[in-house]
Amino acid sequence: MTDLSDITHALISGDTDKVCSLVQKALDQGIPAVDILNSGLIAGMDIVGGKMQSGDMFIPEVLMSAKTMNSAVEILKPLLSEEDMSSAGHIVIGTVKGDLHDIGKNLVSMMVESAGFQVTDLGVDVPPEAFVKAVQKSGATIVALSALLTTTMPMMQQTIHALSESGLRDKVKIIVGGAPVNQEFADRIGADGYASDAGSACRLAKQLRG
Amino acid sequence: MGFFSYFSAEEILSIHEATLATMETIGLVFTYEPARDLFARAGCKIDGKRVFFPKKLVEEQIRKAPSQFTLHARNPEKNVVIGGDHIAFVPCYGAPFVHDLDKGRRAGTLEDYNNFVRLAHGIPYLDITGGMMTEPNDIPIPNRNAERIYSSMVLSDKPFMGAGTGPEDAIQTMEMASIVFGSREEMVEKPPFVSILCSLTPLGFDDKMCGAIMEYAKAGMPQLISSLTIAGATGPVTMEGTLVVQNAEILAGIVLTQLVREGAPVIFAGSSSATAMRFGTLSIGAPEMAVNTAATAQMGRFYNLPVRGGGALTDSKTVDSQAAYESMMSMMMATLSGIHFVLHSVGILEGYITASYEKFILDSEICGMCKRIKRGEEITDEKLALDVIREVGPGGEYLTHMHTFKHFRQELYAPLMEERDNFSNWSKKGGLTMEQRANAKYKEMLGNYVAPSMGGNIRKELDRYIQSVRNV
Repeated sequence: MTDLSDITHALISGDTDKVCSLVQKALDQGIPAVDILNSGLIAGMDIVGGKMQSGDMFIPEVLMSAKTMNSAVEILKPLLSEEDMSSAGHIVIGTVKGDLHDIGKNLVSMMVESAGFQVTDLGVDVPPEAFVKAVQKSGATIVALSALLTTTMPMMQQTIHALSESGLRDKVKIIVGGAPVNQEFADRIGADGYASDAGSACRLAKQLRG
Repeated sequence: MGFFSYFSAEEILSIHEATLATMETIGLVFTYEPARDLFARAGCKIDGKRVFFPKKLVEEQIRKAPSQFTLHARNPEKNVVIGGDHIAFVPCYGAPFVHDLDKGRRAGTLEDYNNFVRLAHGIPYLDITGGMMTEPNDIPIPNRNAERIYSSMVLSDKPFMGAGTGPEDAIQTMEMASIVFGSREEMVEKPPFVSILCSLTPLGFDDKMCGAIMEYAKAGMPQLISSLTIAGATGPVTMEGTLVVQNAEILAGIVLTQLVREGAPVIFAGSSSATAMRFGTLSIGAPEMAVNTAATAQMGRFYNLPVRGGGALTDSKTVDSQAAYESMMSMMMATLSGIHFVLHSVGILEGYITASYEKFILDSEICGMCKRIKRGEEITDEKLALDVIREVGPGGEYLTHMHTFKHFRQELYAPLMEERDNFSNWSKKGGLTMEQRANAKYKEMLGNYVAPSMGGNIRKELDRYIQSVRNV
């Protein structure tokens, strides 16, 4: 019988081939996909998150684990119910209009995806209307906005405004981040949360999901 | 003074070859159509937004840029030569926050910006006052460029920096400078400011930067074509690979300037550094920053272009030991490796996020020391002082010798701030730390600041211009 902790360990090492073959083996042995997801993979990413926070794992290692996680989830997807998949929540994420910087946004995107969230990544230079449309279409409950430039920070407020105008403000939690952004700014523009790095953005998303 | 060389001549050639191969076979993305059109006419292959540069074109074009040029100050005594044996120190650029010991960290304002112009005006080791020492967050975004340029020209008579934000601001900068420095033709002959335009790494340029690059080139105004590749994030994790990406971006930008106007002055500008791998963010206090600075200086020399690199760079959040040692590392490397233009020479904290008043002063001391090192020595009879050594002989002293009296002011660096007194005297003066003394020093300098005069009509016209911007 495949021990799910083997999957967890291989995931922490970022060994994609090993994790995928162990996941397949576990499925062949009749272990339910949802158990593999929760007790094998998500459990592994929780450990990765902790090791990242304590400084024991570096970003490239964390991202390799996240990529491994995503490959494994692809195998499980056809076997998971809609409910299993969406229980973690759906996040719409993007860098606001006028801003082309995406490294931080991509890190957050990968981190939350590997934490089980469904992610709609709108990319960079995203106008407020595109966020509105994406929320309407996906039913996302969290919107994550990124900006690196002080001159594009006001666009975060405009995006929040657009979500309010469309009657979506009460249906989503809005989180913001980026080098010039801070908690005070987040409070001022009426965001629900601010995170200073990818790890804390992931924890914040989990917390807001409740 | 000789130059420190990090790589051998063969190694530099390998980096150059890899760069040309990158430009020719991988290409760079230019989203700005007028730039692509120009490249196409010059013989570049274009695929969508990607531009592939023939080797010959690159080598041909970069040879057209001058190896040296002069920035002409309002006060001609403050003209600055960019290139050759010179090193120009320029303050911090682009920091959204400011910091001082009294009020802590806060969003920068126009008053902070003005204060930094005043300090840069007064500090003898700063050659250029800068262009965006902090972001004036209290000013509406569309007015910020005009306010910055106005302050830079009114509050100091040193050369300054123009807009690095986009083509509209570039045009406005030239309009405003023209009020003070004469016609566009006169400004081509005697450029009064320099601007920094950046790639969108890896391997691209966006519309705003490209638009501004072309406006400045068209007008013959000098500009830094700058790349900040982050090793391990926006470039290969190796310094060698990052150099190739940085080099390809800078050269592509320079080719664009020369295609727009042959001989347009440019500075080959590299500020690549490492990823802080625990966080996935840029680290500018890393030793790899110093490696890149040295390598950038060598590449610039290889292309016979003025070169920018280094700075008083730190990731520290406050003015502490980390800030001091990281800053000195990159400043020293810039000085020893033959860099000509050092942006962020004073003030930076937190990886470009914050401009510190106290660090502005402390780093000025580093600038002074580096200028002293850069000045070099000359082997002459008077300097070798064999006669003096003979006269004093074994066991004598030099403090009372005429040779000392005659030369010490020129020979030995006189610190702006450095504490060299003995413990008992230092205690009597309050036993202040360097940070506290820097705090007092910046206030003293602002208190003693006197604005340089500006001709009545010029000032009136400039005031009319800024009023028209403010009234919109």
